[in-house]
Amino acid sequence: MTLGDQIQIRRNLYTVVGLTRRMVSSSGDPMVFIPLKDAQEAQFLKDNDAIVQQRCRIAANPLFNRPGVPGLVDAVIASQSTNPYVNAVLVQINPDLSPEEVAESIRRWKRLQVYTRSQMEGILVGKLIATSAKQIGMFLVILAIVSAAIVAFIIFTLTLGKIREIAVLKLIGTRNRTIAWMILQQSLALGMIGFVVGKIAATIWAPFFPKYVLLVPQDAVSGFMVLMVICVLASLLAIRTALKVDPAEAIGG
Amino acid sequence: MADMGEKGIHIEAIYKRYGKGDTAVDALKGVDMQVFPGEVVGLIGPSGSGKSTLLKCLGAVIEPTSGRMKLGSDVIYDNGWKIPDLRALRRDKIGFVFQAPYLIPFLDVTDNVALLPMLAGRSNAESRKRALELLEALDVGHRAKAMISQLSGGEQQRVSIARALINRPPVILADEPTAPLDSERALAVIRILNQMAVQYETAVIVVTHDEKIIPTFKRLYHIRDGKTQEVAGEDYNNK
Repeated sequence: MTLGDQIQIRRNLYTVVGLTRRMVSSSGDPMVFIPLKDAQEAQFLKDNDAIVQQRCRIAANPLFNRPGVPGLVDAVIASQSTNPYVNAVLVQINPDLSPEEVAESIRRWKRLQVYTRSQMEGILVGKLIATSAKQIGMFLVILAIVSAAIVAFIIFTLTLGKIREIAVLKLIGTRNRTIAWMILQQSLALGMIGFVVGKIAATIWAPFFPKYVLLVPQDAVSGFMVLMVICVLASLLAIRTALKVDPAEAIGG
Repeated sequence: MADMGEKGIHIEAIYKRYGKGDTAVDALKGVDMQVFPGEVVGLIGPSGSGKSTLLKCLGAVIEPTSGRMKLGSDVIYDNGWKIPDLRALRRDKIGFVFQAPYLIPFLDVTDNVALLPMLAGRSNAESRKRALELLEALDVGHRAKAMISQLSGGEQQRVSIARALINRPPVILADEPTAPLDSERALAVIRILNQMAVQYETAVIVVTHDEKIIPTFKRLYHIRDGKTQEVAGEDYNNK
C-alpha cells in the first residue's frame, strides 16, 4: 500500500494519507486510522437488507404507527440508526504535567474512568496479551516435550545402531566421558540444525502470516538455550545405554 | 617358573571359570602361550573351545580366574590385575583388529587412525603425522582423506590394522581379521600383519577359522576344551 491509494471501508472510499509501521492491535491484527465518526458508522452500520427488515418490522408495529402521530416511525428509525457512544478519548498532556494528577482531575470532575499510559500498558500486557501468551506458552511446552521425545528417540536409535562400534571404542581405550561427549555432540548438532532450519523458515514465512509475527532476537536466544537443554536431556538415555555397553562385546561372535 | 623374557606376550596357567557351584563352567583350564616380537601366531580351535575367552583375557577385557600374564617386561596379571588402569593398558599396549573393521564412519581415514594417540593425550599434529606414516606403510596413504564408506573391504581392514599399530603396542590381537575377505585379500592382510610385526617388533595373535590362511603361520596354538597345544605350522598343515 502506498500514499494516495484508495481503500473502501463499508460504504466509504478513503484515500491513504499516511502510513504506519508495525502498528497492530493487541491481537496482532492490522490497524487503520479513520475519524471516530466514520469508525463508529463502519462498526455499527447495518447492511441494507437488515435496515429494510428493521423498517418493515417497526412500520408493522401498531405502537409505532398510531393514527394521529405522523412521523413517529421515521423518528424511531432515525434514533436507532445513530448512537451516542464514544469508545475512548486519547488525551495527550504537556510534558511538564503529571499524568496521575491529570487522570485524577478527570476522574473527580468528569466522573470518567481514566487510565494513564502505564496503567493501560498493564491492562493490555497483563490481561489481554498475557492470556494469549499463556495459551501460546502451553503450546510451546507441549511442542518442547514432543521435540525432546523425538530427539531422544532419534539419538537412542542411532546409538543402538552403533553398539558394536561403541564396544570397540571402549575396548581400544576410549574413556566413558569421550563416548558420552560424542553422543551429546550428536544431539546438540541435531538441535542446532533444527534451530537454524526453524529460524530461517520463521524469518522467511513470518511476513506471510495472517497476523503480524513479532520476532525478537532475545526470544531466539532464549529459544536456542532451551533447545540445547532439551537436546542434553534427550541424549541422557542414549548416553546411559552407551556407557553400559561391555567392551567384551567387540570380541567374538 | 620359566623365564618369560622381556618382550612379546607370555601367559602361564591361565584359568577362567564362569559361574559358581554346580553351574560353573571352566572355559580355560591352564592355558600357556608365548608369542615373541615380530611373530604372527595363529590361534585355532572349534567353536566353544575358549578362543574368544582367551582373547578377552589377553585383551584385559575380562579377568582370568587365576594364572599369570606378562606383556613385554610388565606383569599385568598375577592372580589379579597388576595394572590399575586397564583402559590405558588396552589403549597403549594392545592393538585390536576385528572381523569387521568397526571404523568410525563420520571420521576420515586419517582421523580414524589418529584417534588413539589423541585419546592418549598426544597432539593432533603428531597423531596425524604418525597416522599418515602408517597409512603410507600399509599402502593406503592415497586414501588418507577418504571417508570410510568410500573404501573397499580390504582397504578398511588395512586402516583398522593401522589403527591397531598407531600406538606401537607390543601385542596385537586379531579376531578373525580375514573372515569377510576373499583369498587374495585375506592373504594380503596376513602378509601385512607379518611385515608390520617385524617392522614394529610386535607380537601378533590371530584367532581364525580361515583354512586359507592357516598354512601361512609358522606357529599355531590349537585350543580345545580350554587347553592349548602348540603346533608347528608345517605339522598342522601336513595332517
